[in-house]
Amino acid sequence: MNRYRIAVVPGDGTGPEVIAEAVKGLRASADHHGFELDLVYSEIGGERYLRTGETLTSQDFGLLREVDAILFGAIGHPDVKPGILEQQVLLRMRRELDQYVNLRPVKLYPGVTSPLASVDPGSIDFVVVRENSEGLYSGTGEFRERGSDREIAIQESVNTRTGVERCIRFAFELAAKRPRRHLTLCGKTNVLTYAWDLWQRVFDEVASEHPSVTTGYAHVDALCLWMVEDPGRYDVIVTDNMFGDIITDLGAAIQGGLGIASGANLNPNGVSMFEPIGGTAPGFEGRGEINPLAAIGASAMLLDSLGEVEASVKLERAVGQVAGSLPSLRAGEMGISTAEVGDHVVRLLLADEAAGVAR
Amino acid sequence: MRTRTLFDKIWDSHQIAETDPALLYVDLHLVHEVTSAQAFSGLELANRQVRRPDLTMATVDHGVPTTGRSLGIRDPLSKRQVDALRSNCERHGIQLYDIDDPRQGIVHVVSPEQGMTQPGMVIVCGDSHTSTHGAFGALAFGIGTSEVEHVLATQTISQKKPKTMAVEVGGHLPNGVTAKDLILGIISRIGVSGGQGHVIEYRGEAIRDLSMEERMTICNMSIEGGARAGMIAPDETTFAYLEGRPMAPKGAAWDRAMADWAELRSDLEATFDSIYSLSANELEPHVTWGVNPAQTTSITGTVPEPDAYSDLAQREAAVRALAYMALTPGTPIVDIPIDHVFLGSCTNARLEDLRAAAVVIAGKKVNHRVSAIVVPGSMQVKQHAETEGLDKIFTDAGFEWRDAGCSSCLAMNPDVIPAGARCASTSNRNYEGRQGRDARTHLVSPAMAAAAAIAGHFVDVREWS
Repeated sequence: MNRYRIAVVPGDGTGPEVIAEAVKGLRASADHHGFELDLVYSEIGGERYLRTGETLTSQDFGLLREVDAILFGAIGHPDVKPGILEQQVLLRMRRELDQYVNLRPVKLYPGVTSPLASVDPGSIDFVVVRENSEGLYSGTGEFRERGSDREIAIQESVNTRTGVERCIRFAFELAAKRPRRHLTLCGKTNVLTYAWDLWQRVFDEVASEHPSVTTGYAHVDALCLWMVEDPGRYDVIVTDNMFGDIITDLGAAIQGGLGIASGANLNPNGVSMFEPIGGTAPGFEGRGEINPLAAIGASAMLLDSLGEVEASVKLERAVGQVAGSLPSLRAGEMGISTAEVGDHVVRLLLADEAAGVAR
Repeated sequence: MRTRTLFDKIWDSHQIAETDPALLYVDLHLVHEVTSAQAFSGLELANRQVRRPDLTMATVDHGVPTTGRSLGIRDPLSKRQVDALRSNCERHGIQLYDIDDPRQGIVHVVSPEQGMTQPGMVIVCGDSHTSTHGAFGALAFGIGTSEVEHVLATQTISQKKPKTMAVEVGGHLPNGVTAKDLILGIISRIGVSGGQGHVIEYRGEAIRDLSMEERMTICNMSIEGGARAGMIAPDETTFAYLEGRPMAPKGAAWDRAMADWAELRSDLEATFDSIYSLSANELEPHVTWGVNPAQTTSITGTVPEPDAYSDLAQREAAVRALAYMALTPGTPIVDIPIDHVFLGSCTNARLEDLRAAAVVIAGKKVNHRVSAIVVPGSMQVKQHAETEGLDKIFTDAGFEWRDAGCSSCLAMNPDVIPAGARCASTSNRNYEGRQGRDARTHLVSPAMAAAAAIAGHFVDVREWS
């Protein structure tokens, strides 16, 4: 019986409410698939920062480094100056744990209303692999003649061979495991000629090692257009940090909103973190109206990363079924409470387990 | 020849090849309705047979109702699971203690009771608390669903060799202090991860004093201390328990078995990877106040002040636990009011457990605010208890007297503790939502649970009259 140690960081706002439901899903999966979970809760977040002034302590890192995975709610606090928690918690965690891939599945479940009028349910099922450590987010640049009329602000996009290659390798390996085995490079080779030349060269090189994966290329602007007009053409998309930031939000929109959007910051050789991408939703805190499906979906991704593939598939399927049965995925419009959505997922999960047998 | 621990001896005699991870032969595979379903369908997809149906035993326990069984299983999910197990067992020729069988019960109660669990065996089951069977000097551990399929197909299991830990308990358990208090005491000292990667051998005077049922309580909760398994060397107590049980060896086979079993102890000079010692003399009845079994204190204690923990992680865990449990630091444990009492589970629902509780409640009434149920570990336990008249004592006091199953321990059947309610439970896990959404669990011994049912709050059972 495998035993996993998971750090649970509920965080602020509606984080604790959705994480409680994600934990419910994890516990039910453990009972039915026969594995043990040691959940270690951490108080990292805005509340604790206001109380103690601590963002990430060495003890926090001690915990985060020694666990098998991290389940993360959301952090952010109305009384904390914007930027502090983002820089000193989220980005620092990502950097220190070297989570160099941001993974964002985009899937439209049957029964879920997409803002795209013409799409068929089931036709949107792709994953964005976003480079998570460099590009325009490396923080380098300069001002020249600051404050003058001739001021120039330069923001540099830093793309290292190592950084690009490990991200692209991950994307190929992921694509090879999916039924369609198709990988699209999303860039801007015609204008950003240094960065994307490197990306294209590495992409082509790694592609030659993966003959089973078919490849394509799209400029980011064209890809945005196709994501709206014909999202079914994509299977796995690999892109840099900046473009990834933008297209994953577009992805969240077409899959039915933040209520269903789960993501992961991955270090394939280390500790990865799984989260609903929706944030703290301050207006909904404590009301039991926030949608926990994104968080439960994140816990399904977490199970997959642990190697509990079957448990992960089942949990994700249950999330999809519940998503399709709700009148709306938006907070406050689900028709049932946060906890009831979680109960519903567990119920369907068990039904699925029982169905497996009876055939 | 090198000296070996009890664990080493069983490991060596079951290792099929010197590989890492090792491939071990499995002597007994226990199956229940919840984790077996996928395994059987996997087997069928691969068009394979069960390798040794004669070494496989099944019962229904996790989701079965504990009342109104003559009406069938109402919950459609549980019904499907049980139906599936029934047809799988039939198809593969596996002995099933079905819902209407007089031997049905919790898998970890039924197997020892029937004499299937024997010293020196490797025993696996798709359930965490398989460690229970280590009480007989067997190597017994829980396995995942994919491993269940592997064992069904091959009667072997691939395992990384764990480390060994000796927990030495000297002295004697004082009056009113039970095996449950001892294991909670051990877990509170070593922590929920203290046994991680280890197989624990419990030894020492206080362990030798224990009955088989008490030893099962100890080994059952090894997993809550993070260990792979727990075990106790077999001795006269073990042999006396086994002799004459339906599946125990008979005649000449018994004599041969006894000769083999006598070898099952750690060599005098054997070394363990780690050793933990404590004295049973200083133990008191324990009550958990938090959301893991290590968050525990004695009945004379108070709900702890989180600031008293120097370790940040422990402090934060205490804050969280107290919020979930709705407890205020400094509150005496005896002042915590109780809404529900659950006397049951693979930890504490054997005959001795029911007797211990019955002594406490005889002639008294369950507090009017408390709802209390007794769920015997097996229908055999139930029947024996009824022969002794224990059922009458419980029902007279106001307990519900149920049929056997896992019940409120994990709330997979209808016996769910309501949100916000506080339950004194003889089970093994107290994490958030274990007994029902927002249900608050306090783990205690059967005697302590019984006393709490009468008083409506925790009481020191040592002062009980």
